Amino acid sequence: MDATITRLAEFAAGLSYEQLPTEIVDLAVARLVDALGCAVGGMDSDQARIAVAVSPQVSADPENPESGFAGTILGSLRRTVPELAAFANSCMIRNLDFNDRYPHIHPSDMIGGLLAGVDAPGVDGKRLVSSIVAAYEVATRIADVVRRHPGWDSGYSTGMGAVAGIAHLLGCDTATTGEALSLIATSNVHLRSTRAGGLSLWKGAATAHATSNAMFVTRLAQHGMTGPEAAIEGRHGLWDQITGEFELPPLPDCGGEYLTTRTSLKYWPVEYTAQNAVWVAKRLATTIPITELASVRLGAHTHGWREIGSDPAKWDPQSRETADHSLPYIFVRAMQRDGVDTSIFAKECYLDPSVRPLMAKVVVEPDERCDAVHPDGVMLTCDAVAKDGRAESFSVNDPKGFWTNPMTAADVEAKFRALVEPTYDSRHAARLYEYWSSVVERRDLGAGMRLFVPLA
Amino acid sequence: MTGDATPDEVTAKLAAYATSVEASHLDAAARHEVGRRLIDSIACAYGALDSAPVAALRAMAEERTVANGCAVWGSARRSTPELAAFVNGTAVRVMDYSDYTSGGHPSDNIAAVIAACDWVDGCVDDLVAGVLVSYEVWGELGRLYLRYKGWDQGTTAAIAATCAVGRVLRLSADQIGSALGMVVTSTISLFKTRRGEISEWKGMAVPYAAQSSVLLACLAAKGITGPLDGFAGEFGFWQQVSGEFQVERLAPGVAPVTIFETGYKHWPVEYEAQFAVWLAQRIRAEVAPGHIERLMLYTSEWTWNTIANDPTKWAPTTRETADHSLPYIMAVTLVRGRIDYDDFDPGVLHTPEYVHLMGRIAVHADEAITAISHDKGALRASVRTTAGDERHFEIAESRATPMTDEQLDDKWEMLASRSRLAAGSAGLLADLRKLDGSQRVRDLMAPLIAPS
Repeated sequence: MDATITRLAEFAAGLSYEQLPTEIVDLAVARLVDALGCAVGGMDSDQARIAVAVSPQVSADPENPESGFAGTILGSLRRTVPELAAFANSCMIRNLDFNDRYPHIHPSDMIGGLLAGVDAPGVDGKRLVSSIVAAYEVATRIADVVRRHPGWDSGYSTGMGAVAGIAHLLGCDTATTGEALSLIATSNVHLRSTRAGGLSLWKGAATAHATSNAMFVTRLAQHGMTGPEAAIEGRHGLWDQITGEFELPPLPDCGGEYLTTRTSLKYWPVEYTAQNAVWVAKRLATTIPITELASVRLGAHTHGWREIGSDPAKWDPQSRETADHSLPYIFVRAMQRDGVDTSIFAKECYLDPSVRPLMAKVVVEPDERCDAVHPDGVMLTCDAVAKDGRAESFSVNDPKGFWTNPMTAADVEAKFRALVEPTYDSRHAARLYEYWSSVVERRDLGAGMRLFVPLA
Repeated sequence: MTGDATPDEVTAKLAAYATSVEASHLDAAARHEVGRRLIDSIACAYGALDSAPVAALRAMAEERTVANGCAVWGSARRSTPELAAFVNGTAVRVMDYSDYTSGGHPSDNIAAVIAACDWVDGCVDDLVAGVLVSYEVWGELGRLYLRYKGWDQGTTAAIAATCAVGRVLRLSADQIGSALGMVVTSTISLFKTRRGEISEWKGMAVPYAAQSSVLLACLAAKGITGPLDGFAGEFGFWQQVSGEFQVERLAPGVAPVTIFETGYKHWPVEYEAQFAVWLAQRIRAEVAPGHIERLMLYTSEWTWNTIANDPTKWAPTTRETADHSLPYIMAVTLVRGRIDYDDFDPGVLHTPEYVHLMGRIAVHADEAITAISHDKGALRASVRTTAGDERHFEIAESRATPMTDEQLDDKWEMLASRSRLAAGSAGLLADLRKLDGSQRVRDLMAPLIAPS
């Protein structure tokens, strides 16, 4: 193990719930509740449905019933191998693209892997919370490095963080955690192509696959598998192939900041740069309704522009994945509806021919002012002209949910209930919220998982 | 639903080829060669059935049973197709005795193809078609030499496995395209696995990639779509990993090549080191190991780089480093006249006689040998004896290292006979020689299931 792997492994193995400041516990629980709400909203997605379909029911070894554990799937009584449960849960959490955000990653994609392991020996609510922090602190630090190198995708950082979290959840020691990190570090490189051009269903499943891989290699390490030495720093390791040499910023056990505090929640169910587009649209519509709009120029930070505003396919979305990564589409719908909900991603809505002429009024450009604040802040600029010649220019910063402008506990609960109430009645939704928002008091998380199984 | 993209040319050609292959179109020689690949690979699996890594992985798979799932060799319990592919693939590979060509060991994918057949209850003709697709796609991609760019062979192996498993599952060209998009964007591995002190993972990295291909093909079968321009698209495989390339040879109806050109291993050592074993045998015939004062070995740049380039090769502490250590392999063969799997047990790696001899061996990369090394397995040795003589030896043989049917049968016998499942091995060998296209793969492979 090289110094980087060793440091990450020591941190993940050494962390305990008792060390965590109350503020960090609260943040982790909020992210868990947020992820669970998103998962319920995403349970019927193609990815989640298919992920469950490829996950066979398993039974324990009759001669050795206590060995290992079965994976738990949200919304299902089926027990499967842990890696496929991790895949299914993370597909659910991710599908709406409504879960949390840190530059380059959606950290709660990893939570699907942790939820798959709640039946493992020794897991309780406190352990789940500290495993979320272990995952977040590792993934954010790796993401800060990998995101500086264009073309490499978030699955890499997600996989590294998920290993740290899952290994912590399963009670692995430093050596086992280090082997699992070495395995994932060399075998889970992801390309940005997944998110470029026309998008496929894989966009919503690629990081779930990384989380699944994390579960797989962590179990391998538990069974004694050793990974390549110096996976990050050695010849043809991560430094050589992708990032060049880097030094990790200190982790919290060495006085470093908890980067979990810098993860953001989404208030609107759209890509992060598009959060501001909804706020801009709402504000613009108060002075220039869309029927009176002649043209509008939106200025985004370069990365956001490239993601959701540069490709001509964004002006003619043919799939849900393209629609929810289309700045012009989201902007137009938000102007029409004074905000957005997931109904704008229904097929008939994004294929609607009447929305195309309105999208044609929208120009998106990279804006240096936005680059200047990114990624510590998020800004969108707007220069609109009405048909009667009136002009409006303004910008919005740090949308609600951004880490500097956090959602309140009430906002988190409201988002959760809005996401789960279409599936369960409001009484059951309240029960779910009550159970999971108090997760640190829970011992048998399997019971909490079963609460998601729809009552027949 | 599909995304907005149309398939890039590489994706389209690989998918068109994979969907076109039918066992019934193959001539007798190709079919026979597929059978020989299966014999060689399964022989290796017998040999490694109870090796420590395979036993550990099997224990992981056995924690949970899948009713009507896939056979895990050496176990009475069935598992997911992914875990079966991984455990069984590791059994084929872990001795490093399986076949070899540019880009690694094509047989690394055989267990994944068998697991896919098992999962859909396919027949031997599906298996034959799947194995053939895997080898031919492997051959097409092997010339990319991604290892020189620091990417591991699992990266291209997974592409070949995806085409093969896609063929077994009877996916459409679009579905195979989707699975390829998923695999090329998310199953890339670093060559780090084969650098420095080598861990057990070396023998599992490619089976791991292959099991991932099984999952991704199953996802595509159920309707998950992947990027269809995963090779040529922005931030795709070309741009990030391989550089631009085209599928040159593969097209529907093309005659198979790689299945014939892949070399067999006569010794359980890194592929290039086989030639070193033969060279050491020649030296030993003339100079007793105790009479060697100094042994200068000259190899190709690649061989030097892979099995002689760092000090760990002169003091191996793991099986994986030892079977990729040119000095260790030379020393053992000089002493024993041959080299076997047991010669890499960690307990014998520090045998004083081997350590002493390794200290007398130096290895250099040689330009002339490098120049011919794409065609020949070549090495040269200069030996100074304790009596002060200088003796020169060399070897330059075809890299294909063919095996006759009889040699293959001997290898099978040697490896299968020591297995706890030896009882059924003669019947399995007979079936593999015959390859009855309509036989269920589940029946074919039944001898590798342990009695419950």
